[in-house]
Amino acid sequence: MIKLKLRKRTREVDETSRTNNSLGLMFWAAVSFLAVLTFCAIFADILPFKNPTQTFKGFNKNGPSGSFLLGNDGVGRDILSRVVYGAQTSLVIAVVGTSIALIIGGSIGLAAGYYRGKVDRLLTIMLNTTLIIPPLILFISLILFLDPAAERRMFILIFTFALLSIAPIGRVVRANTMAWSEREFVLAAQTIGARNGRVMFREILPNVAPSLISYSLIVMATLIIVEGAVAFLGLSVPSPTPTWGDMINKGRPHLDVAPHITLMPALSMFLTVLSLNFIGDKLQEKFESKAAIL
Amino acid sequence: MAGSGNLHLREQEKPLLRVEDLVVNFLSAGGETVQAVSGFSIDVLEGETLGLVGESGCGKSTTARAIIQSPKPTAGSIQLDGVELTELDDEEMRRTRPILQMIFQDPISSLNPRRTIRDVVAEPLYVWWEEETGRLAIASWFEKTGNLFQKISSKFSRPARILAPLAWLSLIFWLVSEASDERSLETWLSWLKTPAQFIGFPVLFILAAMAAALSVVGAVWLVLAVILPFGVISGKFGSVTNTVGLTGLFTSLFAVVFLFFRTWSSLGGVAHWLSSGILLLAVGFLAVWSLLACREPSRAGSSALAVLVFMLFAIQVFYIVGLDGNTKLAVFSLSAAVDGILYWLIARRYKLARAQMRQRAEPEVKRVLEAVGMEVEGSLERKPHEFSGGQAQRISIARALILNPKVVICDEPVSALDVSVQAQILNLLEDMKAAYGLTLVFIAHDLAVVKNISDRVAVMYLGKICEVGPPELLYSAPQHPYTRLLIDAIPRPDPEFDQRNAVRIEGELPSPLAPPSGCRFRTRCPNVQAKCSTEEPQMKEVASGHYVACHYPADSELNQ
Ligand code: SF4
Repeated sequence: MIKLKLRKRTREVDETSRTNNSLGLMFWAAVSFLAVLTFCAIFADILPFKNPTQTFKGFNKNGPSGSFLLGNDGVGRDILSRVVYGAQTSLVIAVVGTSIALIIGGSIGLAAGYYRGKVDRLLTIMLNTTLIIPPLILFISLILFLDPAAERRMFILIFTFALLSIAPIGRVVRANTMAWSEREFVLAAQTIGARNGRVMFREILPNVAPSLISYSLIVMATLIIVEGAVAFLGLSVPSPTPTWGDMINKGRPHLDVAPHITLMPALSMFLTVLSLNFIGDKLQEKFESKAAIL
Repeated sequence: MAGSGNLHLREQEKPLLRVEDLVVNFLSAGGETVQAVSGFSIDVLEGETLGLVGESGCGKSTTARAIIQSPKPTAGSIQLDGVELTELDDEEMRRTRPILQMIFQDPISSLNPRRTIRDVVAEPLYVWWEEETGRLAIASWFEKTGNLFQKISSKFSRPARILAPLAWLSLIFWLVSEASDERSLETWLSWLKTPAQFIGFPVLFILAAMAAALSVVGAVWLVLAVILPFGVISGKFGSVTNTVGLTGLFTSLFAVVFLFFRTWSSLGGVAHWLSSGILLLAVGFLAVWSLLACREPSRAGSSALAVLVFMLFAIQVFYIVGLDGNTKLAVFSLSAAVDGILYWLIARRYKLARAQMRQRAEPEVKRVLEAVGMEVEGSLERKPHEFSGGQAQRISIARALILNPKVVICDEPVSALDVSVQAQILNLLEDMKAAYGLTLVFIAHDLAVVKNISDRVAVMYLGKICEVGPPELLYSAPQHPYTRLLIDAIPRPDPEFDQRNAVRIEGELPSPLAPPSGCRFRTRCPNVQAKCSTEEPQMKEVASGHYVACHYPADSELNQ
């Protein structure tokens, strides 16, 4: 009896250690970095961060120090708290934008891949239509037309980013759905009398989900970069609200004397994007090898 | 070979499955028509096993899929128990499906890799149970509300008929006047505003102004506007679901417009947001719910919940975005907490329901799994890839049997399996046939496989039937040159026999894009004559119950 139990234990241990190994230490490092960043961003108001808009006289362009861990920017504001509050903006835009694109693009891709034929053609045309608009031009014209006073900039940013991410996500889901629909279990589900919706959401979606999730992580990373680029052009959330792109932009004139003003937000953006990409890639790899076994 | 004619159909008996002149064409990637099945007829009596044999690419799997109507055949008739399947609409066909099941070639691919065996096997039960319980609960609600609305409509039918359009008009007017107050929409809507003022007569104007002044009045008005036309239409159309659907359509349209204007125009005013949020919630709920209820009564419950949750979420988001600083934080945490509890409750409810259903299904699942010879202990929670091909095929069979079908179509169920396992699965199918009183259509590319289990064997070539007959006759005295070649190709367990001398069928299967004229087998037939390319052979009886479609069958004078 005891022997039996022992053997079971070791097997379990083996299995968990194998999954850990396959993901690797870097994966968990990336996850923890994102977790810490997200935690700080969400609870920034409660955690002991300094006011991100307060200027500290005499600390202009100071390097990292005991009281200002990442140093001060051109007008003496605390870079650490600005990075954290900037993460708020970046993450909200990236996460909400990707989620909207995920819901819309995912449904479109699922329907197109499952029903094929006319439905597919119509939906593909819809997706492709969003691709023919040059993103930056769409973005600038939307802002100039709808929001010249920068009152609803966040709203418009998210809207545009979501619009731009729908097509790539939709295509990935469509291709995946098509591949999975070929499997006989889909026909089997239809044969037992399941409705199309049930077949799509219960049979196909769980199989498409892994690659969908890893792909949307990569989309998220891209959105963070795009937000930075847009902020660099001065088109992101207006100034007192910190964003990474805006911080990089503002640090530019001081690059020769105080490179840390640019470096810190750039570094956090770099790490975030790297982590997201890394996690996405790893997950993709893992699920792909798993699918290959089948 | 490859003949036409339906002489082999048994007119005097009443078959359980009867396929007549089945034609399946589809478009190839190049846009050409692939003639996969051309004039295939067969009948299967209750309790009979039909073996359907042919090379890969001869259209036997296409035939199987045409029988289960996915995809629907191009032409022909398929009768199951007297019901013409080709004439059923999607929903009727779906309801017919439980009695017509299928077992697939690739056992692993026919099981969803992400579900446990328990769920795979029980899924047919889940599908139909969920529908049933959903329908019962919703149906009674529908009857009640339906009656209420019918009553209202009959009582107020005349005033309602006048009031309803007025209500709608004023509602639209109210919406327009409300929205066009906003700075950013002024230009957009100015062209709408003027005609709206014209149409919207003094009475309407007063009503609309009242409604606009008080959001509460707006809500009441909305309810009126929804209920009155509801009554009118329900009187007219009679069917409750139709009415609900129509009203839902209008209301959801309205809700979308409303949501748009609201988010756009007032990101500020808290009171306004709150009232319109509640209003929106009510409208959206009613709208989407009724729309879904119309299409799928059984789904209305859960869909409504999803819509409700989503609406609540959307309103929160928009509401919170409009706040500032500390209030934002406070409201955010509060609503996050409320949401958390709400989602947790919903999730628990669902988990509970799922667990209950699992439990209810468990004895059934165990019964079929045991019947197909699976070890039940320890396999319920495992995923398909943990099983061997033979075991997976047993699981597939269990899934097909759990609904107590009448006809099971086996699409090469053993050809992907090891030879040692093939016999086990064949025996199992035989046993299941006896135990469940099944009628089988057994498809194989190898005559040897179907020999012992079939009551009748049909040989197929390039979308047509060559020869049909009882196995005793067909194997001992094959008439069609193609059948003879197939029989010669069966490997013999005779050590004296040199397998290399076994007859090979010469040439390639012709393309179904342009099948040969006359007899479709003529390009490869050893007996081919001039007549074969001009005239299509018809089915003729060579012995009792033994039919062949060939101009020069084995027993004919020419060959003797
Ligand atoms: S003998 Fe003629 S009709 Fe018969 S199978 Fe050969 S080609 Fe066809």
